[in-house]
Amino acid sequence: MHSILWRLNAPFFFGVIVLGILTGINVISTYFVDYRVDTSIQNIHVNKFINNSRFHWEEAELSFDLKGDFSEVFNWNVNYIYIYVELDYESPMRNAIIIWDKIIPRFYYKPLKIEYKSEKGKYTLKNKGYNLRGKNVLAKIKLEIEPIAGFIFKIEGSHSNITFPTNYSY
Amino acid sequence: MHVVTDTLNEFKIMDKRRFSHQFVNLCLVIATALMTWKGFMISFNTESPIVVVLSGSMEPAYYRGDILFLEMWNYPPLQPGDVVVYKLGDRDIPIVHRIMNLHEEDDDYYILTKGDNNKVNDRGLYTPGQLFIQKKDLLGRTWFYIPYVGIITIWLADYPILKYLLIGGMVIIGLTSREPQS
Repeated sequence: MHSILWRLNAPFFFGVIVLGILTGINVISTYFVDYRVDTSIQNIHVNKFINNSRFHWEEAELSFDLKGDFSEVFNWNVNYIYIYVELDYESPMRNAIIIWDKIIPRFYYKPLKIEYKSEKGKYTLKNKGYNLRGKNVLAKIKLEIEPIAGFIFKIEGSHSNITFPTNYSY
Repeated sequence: MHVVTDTLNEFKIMDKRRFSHQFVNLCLVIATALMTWKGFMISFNTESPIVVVLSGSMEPAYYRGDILFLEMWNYPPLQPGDVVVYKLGDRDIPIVHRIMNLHEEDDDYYILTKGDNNKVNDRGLYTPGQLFIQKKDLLGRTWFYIPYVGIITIWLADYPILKYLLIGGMVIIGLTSREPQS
């Protein structure tokens, strides 16, 4: 009855249960947190807009002013945040493309406020097909909160509009 | 150390009735585990509701051995920024990466993915000539995350001897252990 296996088993599973309960408290305590961010995206420019005839799609390079304050987002259960700029347009169905992203891990306290002037998109916008000319596109700042353990949250920051040129740059 | 002799002794004194009782108990445990898995499959609408991260291409988000819970209800609809798990054609290792481009067309998605830790997108991973992955390749979108726990399954897969030891040990313990009596 009280063999060595039983004796090892008991503290091991007690430890597992304690860890599980602590993790559960961690998850529940941040589930109802109302994450708020203060962001703005402005002055979006299309620097280059070309027709890639090899792959049969359009490519564009954009730049924008980006501001954000993410100090309110971090709490005890945030592993890191993934900030990204997404372009949304309809053609006629939904299209969405990420052109810029940044990861701010925890323990990286300093730049919780970011500010970029005429920042270039990190990724070239590559459309599927030819339908961006003269299109009205919505640029959104979004945020994904990756927890240490628990639910993955998404937050939407501010957005602004841009109309693509009706002709290719060259 | 009476573990071995005790266990052997348990086998010696075991009669038919007790053996069948223990055997049914063991089957019950296995069936419960299977039922839980199938229940997860139905409630999250995906064929693999829980996956273990196998590569470091999503660091610093997901490390090797982290557990991800997936769902495929598509509500809210998939969007860029979501971390999805996909499996390509004949390859059996699922890949955990983030959606960068998403084009919706005729009730299907055309998705381009990229790992956070990779410099370039995944077109090099896809089958040659494939530009986008589609709905049929997707296993699900992550919605819940638990760190570290899945490393056990990686060990089990890397060292098969460990797997046999564990399963054998579980079967022996399941057959010999008595209900703890007060």
